[in-house]
Amino acid sequence: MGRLERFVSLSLLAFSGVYLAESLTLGFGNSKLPGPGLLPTIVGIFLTFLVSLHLITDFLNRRPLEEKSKKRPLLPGRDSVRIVEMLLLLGFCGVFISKLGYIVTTIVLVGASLYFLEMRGWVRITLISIVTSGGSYYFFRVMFDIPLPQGILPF
Amino acid sequence: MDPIQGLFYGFSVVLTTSNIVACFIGVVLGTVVGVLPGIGPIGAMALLLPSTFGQSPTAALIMLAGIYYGTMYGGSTTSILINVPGEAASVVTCFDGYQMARKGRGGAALTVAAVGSFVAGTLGVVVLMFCAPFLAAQAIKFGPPEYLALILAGLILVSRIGEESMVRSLIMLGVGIALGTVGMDPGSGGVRFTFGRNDLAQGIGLVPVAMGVYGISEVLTIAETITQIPQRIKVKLLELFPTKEEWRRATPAMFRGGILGFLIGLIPGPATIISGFYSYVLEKRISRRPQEFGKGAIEGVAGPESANNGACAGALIPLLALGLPFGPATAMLLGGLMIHGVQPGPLFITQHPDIFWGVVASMYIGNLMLLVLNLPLVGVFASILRVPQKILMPLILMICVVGAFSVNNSILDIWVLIGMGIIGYFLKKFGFNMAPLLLGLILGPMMEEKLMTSLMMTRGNLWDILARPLTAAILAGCVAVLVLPPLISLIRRSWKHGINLRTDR
Repeated sequence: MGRLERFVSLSLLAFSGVYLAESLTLGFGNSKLPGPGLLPTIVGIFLTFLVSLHLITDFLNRRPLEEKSKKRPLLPGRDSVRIVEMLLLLGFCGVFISKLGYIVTTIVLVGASLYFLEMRGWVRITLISIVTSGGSYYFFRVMFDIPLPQGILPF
Repeated sequence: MDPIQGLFYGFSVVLTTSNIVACFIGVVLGTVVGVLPGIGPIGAMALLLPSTFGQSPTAALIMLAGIYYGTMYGGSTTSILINVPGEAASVVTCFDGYQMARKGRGGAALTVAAVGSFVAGTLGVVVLMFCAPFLAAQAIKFGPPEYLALILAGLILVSRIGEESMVRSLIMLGVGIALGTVGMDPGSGGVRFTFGRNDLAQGIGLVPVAMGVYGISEVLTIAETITQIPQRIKVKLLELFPTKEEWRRATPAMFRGGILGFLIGLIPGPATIISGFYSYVLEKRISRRPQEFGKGAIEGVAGPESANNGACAGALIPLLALGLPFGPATAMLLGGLMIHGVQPGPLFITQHPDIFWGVVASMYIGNLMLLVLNLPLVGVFASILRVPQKILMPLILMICVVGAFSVNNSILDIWVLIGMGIIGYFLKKFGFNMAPLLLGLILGPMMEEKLMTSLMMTRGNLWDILARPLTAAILAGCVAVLVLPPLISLIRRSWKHGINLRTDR
């Protein structure tokens, strides 16, 4: 089990632990009138057991020592930088979409992701992002009347 | 309404401009998605859900169903021409399809795949047309305990049948059910796991989760290694006709694949994927020339391609007759219906005959459209692969944002989308399958509601629930599926061990 995989499994264990703890506060009710915590508690116990089992079996089947001793980064190479860039971009989108609105945010989202995915040429990137963002706004908002976050622009 | 009357009624519903256009858009988009590696039918349906908001529920389901079965047609094109399966159900087609293309028989393989898909798809719709109303009529007699047993069986079998480790699948199932419990409790009406956020009271939506784990995570996976699509083998129009001998070998395989696929479609799990594998194994086992498999046997293309289309039709029966989706793609179809305020179940066919018969009739038309589109335009569809992934991925990101926001006009859904995308990316990287998560999310709340009603109905007597004949039969079958395979392998191992010991002496 690599470091990142162990991190993922431990996160799952943390999730199931918190979920189980929260479920226990809800109350089971009784068998004739079950309470809101009945199914969540069953699911919480089941999940905690399974994630622990997964962690234990993976720990028992871990790689030999010499292989483990080679230190490896969490996400190797240039590709990892691209992933981090994309994650930051998604975070930006989540934070600013309500303030900046759909059009501005998606222009930044498309433009930056094109750049991160190694497309070059500012004119081309700007044109593609404006056309796709404007086109999708027209398609969804104008043609299908789907509400989109308004933000700083008046439409 | 008997099935024949129903079908005529369905044609009267579907033969309107808006429904025909919806069917056409669905099958074309399905084919395009099938050609493009990575997105898949579930991701495509999730991405296109917002575009159905302005449509009637009938047109919406016709379009979504078109995407679902259209993907199966498109997936074979890239499998045969470039050895890259457009979606998971077409992996098996690569084995012999690409080998046929290398031998100059790519055109014949494409034709057999398209005709096989058409035959199996049409056969499947015929059976669906007769079976679904019958099953729905029987299901009216089902009480909450029977539904509870069916949902439990579905959830357990989904985790058992997948190719991945059972523990990992069960973990994802648990996470899905856990996410499904967020929001209002069906019993008391109080809120749970909202951590003080009012916008979480209505629960975590299927659309942002599906878009996150299938759309955003796919973009991240592709961003990690931007792959180059290999050179495709070109096929001329005249090369599309199989020889007499190829037809003779492919025709029975199409029917076998179609029937096998349809039956597998009725079982919970990733039916379209496993039906192809089972059909391939079946064809190889009964073939007089098993040595040709993997080197360009036409049965290896006809069987699996028919099977995955048969499975599509089969999987619609539990959804339309019982209101229970047994796979992630049908869960998306259910999501599409629920967004339009339609709740499938045993009364669905009687309460919404326009939607049911409209969709059935549209599947005949859609399959015909796909056959006509896929053969002469195969070159056009294959050329879609020339669209650089660098352009495609940002577009998917943008559609995901629109889709997640537009269901409830909620910024929280965008956060759910992003969060699930990141979580999905890391989980998929380590071999966790997202299908059980999606099914847990959609079936979990249904299961809780049926559990509560069953317990209240029987005054908390579990024995009364288990003693009902159908419930007992379903649960016994489920236990058998879970226990028998490891038990049989244990007996086999100890038997072999016994023989080895005796020979050693």
